[in-house]
Order: sequence, then structure tokens, then C-alpha cells
Amino acid sequence: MQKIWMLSVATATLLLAQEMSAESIAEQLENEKTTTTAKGGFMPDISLIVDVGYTKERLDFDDHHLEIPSLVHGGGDAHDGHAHTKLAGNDGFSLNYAELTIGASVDNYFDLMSVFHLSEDDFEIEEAYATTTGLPYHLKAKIGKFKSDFGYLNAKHQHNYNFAEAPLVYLALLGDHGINEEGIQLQYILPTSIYMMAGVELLRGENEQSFGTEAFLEVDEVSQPSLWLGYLKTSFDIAEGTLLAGVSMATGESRIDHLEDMENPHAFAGDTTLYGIDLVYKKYFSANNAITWQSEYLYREMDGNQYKPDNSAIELNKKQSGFYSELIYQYDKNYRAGVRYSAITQNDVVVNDKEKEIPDDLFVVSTMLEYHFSEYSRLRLQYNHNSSLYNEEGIKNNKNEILLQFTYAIGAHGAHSF
Amino acid sequence: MRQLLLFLLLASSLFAKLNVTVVYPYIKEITNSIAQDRVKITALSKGNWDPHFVVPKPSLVAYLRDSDLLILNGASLEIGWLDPLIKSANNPTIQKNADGYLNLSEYIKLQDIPKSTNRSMGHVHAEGNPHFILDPHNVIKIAHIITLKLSQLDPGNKAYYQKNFANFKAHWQKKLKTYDKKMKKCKGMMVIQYHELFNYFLRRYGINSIDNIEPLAGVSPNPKHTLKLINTVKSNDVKLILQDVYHEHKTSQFISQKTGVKVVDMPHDVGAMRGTDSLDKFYDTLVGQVCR
Repeated sequence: MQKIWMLSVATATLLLAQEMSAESIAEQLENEKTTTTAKGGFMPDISLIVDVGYTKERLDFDDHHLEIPSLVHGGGDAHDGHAHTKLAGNDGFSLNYAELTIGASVDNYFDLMSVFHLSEDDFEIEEAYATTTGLPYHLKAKIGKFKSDFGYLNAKHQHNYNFAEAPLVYLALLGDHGINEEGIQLQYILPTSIYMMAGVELLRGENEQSFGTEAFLEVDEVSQPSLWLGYLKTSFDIAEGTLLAGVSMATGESRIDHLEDMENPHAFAGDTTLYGIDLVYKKYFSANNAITWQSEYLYREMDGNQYKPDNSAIELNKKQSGFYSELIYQYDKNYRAGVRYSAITQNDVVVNDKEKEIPDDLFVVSTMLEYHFSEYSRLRLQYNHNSSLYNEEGIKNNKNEILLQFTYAIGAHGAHSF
Repeated sequence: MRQLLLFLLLASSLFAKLNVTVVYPYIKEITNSIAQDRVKITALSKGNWDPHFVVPKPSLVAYLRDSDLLILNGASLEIGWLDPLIKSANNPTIQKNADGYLNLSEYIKLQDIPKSTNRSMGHVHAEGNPHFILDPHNVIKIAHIITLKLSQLDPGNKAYYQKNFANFKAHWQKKLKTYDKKMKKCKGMMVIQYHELFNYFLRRYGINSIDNIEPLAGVSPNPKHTLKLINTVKSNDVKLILQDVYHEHKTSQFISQKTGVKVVDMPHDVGAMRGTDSLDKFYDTLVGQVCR
């Protein structure tokens, strides 16, 4: 017994001595540094991305009052005081957006990141959040307004898309902004030999296409936060390429108010659940020669009541799904090309237990060619065949469009993730 | 019983193997010389890859998650890919400025520090040229820094690390003598290179790199610049065109055909090409390719 005690004391003394020597080594390391190159005191990373373009579109017939049946209506016009790219009628030169980012470490506990999305007349705080840098147990928390890590594309910024706009299934189920709101996120890296990440988020629940919280008519508002999300992502190498796969789920209450619409005003109150599967495969032949295959499938179920302005209600149940799949080939430092197909695969709407006849032959095909002048400037030529638009009489109006898009970046913009 | 447990706990903290993740193979080789089997070392990239653009694969996050020490080259060489990996590893030990984050460039006198930086100059690094490992005279300093860092994090093996460093230093001083002697006869030679990758090596031995195949750092060659380069090569006594392994080879071959000047393949890291799979062989090849 005594022996063990003595050994323990000896070990403790040794550890203490080592602690002291570690300190002196740290000092020695500090002295070995060449003249410090701190540049002009505190300066956060600031970057600006500007995206300008030209669009030429042609419709089957001249009718700009279009909708994606039972998914997007009102032509994607202005709402909540900010304008969106309309479903049709975007000809000519345009300032698509500017994106200003400012980020830095706050202290040794938090990093701060903010992204401002600017259009010609609007200033939006797209993201403003702090992430923890020192949580134990491989945890990380994010607090503020941010793009959710639901799916793969949702967390990406527009300049980082492979095409000018989000795919049809995203626009239809999540709208122009995706899931992007105030709340909290917690992510955990599992202690497995292959990469596994699990995350949960609790958000306000204001997505205009799937959720929403505001009261209308005699329906109460939803108490916030109301949207729960969870996801699991994994990644491993196959055939000298890398696969990133994920499953996601989002569930919350919905208050979708279209009572101000000119035609067929209505509103929805109920519960919505969204499921997503994402698969990304990248194979690099060299640093600038690579192939990427990226696909996502989304399924949404909405259950509740639809209201008319006179407060009359009918039972409504929607089961809708869709996917996109894109293949991108990067030839070298300068050239990239790609194709994307996005379609709605299910558009079932049941009203008072009766199935409604809703078109489900909705798809968009896009192809693009990019020329990168450098890492910081890019020209993209894109062609879309959009077969998802119907007029009010229920007649399909195909849209073909050519987009020319210049994207410029200045300043210190952080590296992108996989 | 409790005392025994306490003792085991204290003792195990003495013998736990350090998990070291390094960015480039040369760092792995040097760390290996110092630590040998006392630590577990993983390199994030391979020697024949472009060090500026490593694919930020999420599978690398799994290594970083468990690392006690991350050793990087620094001077923004990893700026295009490493940060998101460190951030998503959820490991406070290796975050910037933590004890487990070792940026080697902070201990080296960097060259080519630009007087001003502007993107119209191409991809220049404000801190200076990050390819300092190309100078064999920087190796001992790097090994010394790594020895200190390992001793700081793993004081139980301090004596072992220092003994290995002493051996390594003696060996390397001998190597340097051979290199210096061999390279003397090439002093004043003129060469061109693709990217300012070999500046530290060339400057060390008084070799003049008079132009680059890429018109600006990180910008692909264009016909106008290539034609100008052919004239430069012809009107100067250029002896070699230095070609690295990860840029395209067509332009240098074309210049070679037009001028008759030989193209030589140059490794930029351990394992960049065949016969460079150790630190010794890497520098032997560098010296051998330039000065035969």
C-alpha cells in the first residue's frame, strides 16, 4: 500500500515538474518566432461579391401570370417588402445580388459571421451568427440567424451554387431563401473512424413556403420557436472519390397567408413535415480537374385546413416530393460545365377527403458553361428549359431562357467547405 | 484500491500517445524523425498534390477531431481549404492560437514579402512566399520547433525527442555540407520556373530565376506571355526550365522545343515524384535535377 502511495506522489511530482517545464518550453517557442507580422491591428475579414447578368426568355404564349400548380403562386411577386425573381418576365440586364460578408473571432469562445444580401432596393441580413470554438465533447453551437444545414444546398450561398438559381424542388418547397432564420444549432461529430455528424436545430419557423407563424382571420399565431430540424451526415471515400451523404428532417406548424392574393385568395393552417436525402460524390483527377455529382430528394407532407377570406375552412392534405440531380465537370482552372434536371415527382392534394386533379408533370432542365478568368471572377452562360409553369386556366406555358451571369469577388472571403 | 486507480490515472497521462495531424508530407517526415513511434502521425495531403488546393474532404475531419496537435506550413499556403476543416472538427485543442496549433511559417524568415498586395497582381501572399521548405537550410529550424512543441505537449518523452533531434541535426548538417558543396558550381545559373515555387532553393544557391511560365501567381499561361518568355529565354543564357509536378507540362515543353532549353521535373515536397519518398531523397533529387 505504502509503495503505491509513494509511487503516486512521485508521479504527481513528476507531472508538476513537467507542467513547469512545458511552460518554459512555451516561452522558448514564443522567442523562436521571427519578427511578428501583425498587420495593422484588428481587421475582420470583409468580402463583397457582385453578381450581374443578362436574361433573354421566351414563353410558349404571352401570359406572365404563371404559377407552379399547388406549389408556388402569385408569380413569386414581392412579399414582406422585398422583391423576388419572378417566375416570368425577367428580360434584360439585371443586378442579381450583392453579398457582403464580415467575419472575425469575437474572443477565444466565439467566431462571428455576418452575410448581407443586397439587391437593388433592399438590404437583408441573410446571416448573422456566432459559432462556439471551445465546446468539449466534439460539440459546436451556432446562435443567431443562419442558413440551416438541412440537406446539402440549403446552407450554401448563391454564389456557390453551380447554377444561377436553386433547383425547382427547392424553390417549390422552401422558396427563394431556403430555410434561413433565427434560432440555435447544435452539432456533434461522432467518435467513429468514418466521418459522422449529427445536428439539431430549433428555429422560429418562418419559411414562407412550408411553415410560417403569423395569425390570420381567427386562427391563432404559432408560438415561436416552432420548427425542429435534425440531420445526420456521413462521408467516406469510394473509388478514389469522396461521397457525402445525409438524411434530414424538419417538422413544425404552418401559417401560410395568401389572403391578399388578387386571384383565389386563401390561407393554410396546419402541420408540416419535410424529409430530405442528399448525396454528393466528387472525384478529383487533379487539383483543377474534377467531376461532381450532386443530388437531393425532398418529401413534404402538409396536414391542416385551408381558409377563404370569409373564414370558411376545408380540410387539406398535401403530399409533395421532388428531386434534383446535377453533374458538373471541371475541365481545368478556367472551364466548368454542367447539367441539372429537377422535377416534382409527387403532387397529391386531398381536399375534404377528395383527391384534386393537380398537374405533376413539372420539371426544369438546365445546362451551363463557366469560364473563370481567375479565382475571383467568373462568367456563366446558362440555358433553362422550364416546364413547370401553368397559367390560371391550367394550361402549361413552357419557358426557355438564356442567362449570362458575371460574378466578381473582392476582399478576404473564407474558403468553401466540401 | 482507490489509490491504485489514482496512480494508474496519473501514470496513463504520462504514457498516452499523442495524436499528431500534419498538413504536408515533409512535416510528417520531420516529425517522424523526432518522435518516431512515440506519436501517431497522419498527413492530410499527398506530395504530388497542389499544396494550394487540397480537397477539403469531410473524411479529414475525422482525423482532426481527435488530434492533440496540428502542424501546418502556414503563410496562407492552406488558405484555400484548411479553415473550414478545422472549424468543423469541433476540437478546441487545434483551433488557431491554441497550444495544439503549430504554424511553422511563424518561425521562418519569409522572403518575397510584397510591398503592397492587390489582386491584379495575381494570387500573392501578403505574408511572403510560403514555399520555404524548398531551402534545405530551413529544415533544422523546423525540426527544432517541432521538437519543442512535442516536448511541450508530451513532456514525458522530452528527453527522447531531444536525443532524436540531436541525431537528426548532426545528420542534416552533414547533408547540408554535401548540398552546399555540390551546388557551388551552379552559382549564377539562369533558369525559369512555372510558379514561384523554388525561390527559396534557388536563392540559397545563387541561381537566378528570371521569369515564370504563369504570367501572374495562380493565373494560367497565355500565348502572349509565353511568346515573350521564349524571347527572354533566347536572349538570356537560360539553362533550365523548372517544371513542378502539379501544373500542366505543355507550355514548358513548347518553350523547350522553341528554344532548345531542357525541362527538368522538380519535386516540391516529399513524395512529389518517384524517388523522393524520404526527406533525404527529396533534397537529393532537388539538388541533382538542377546541378548535375
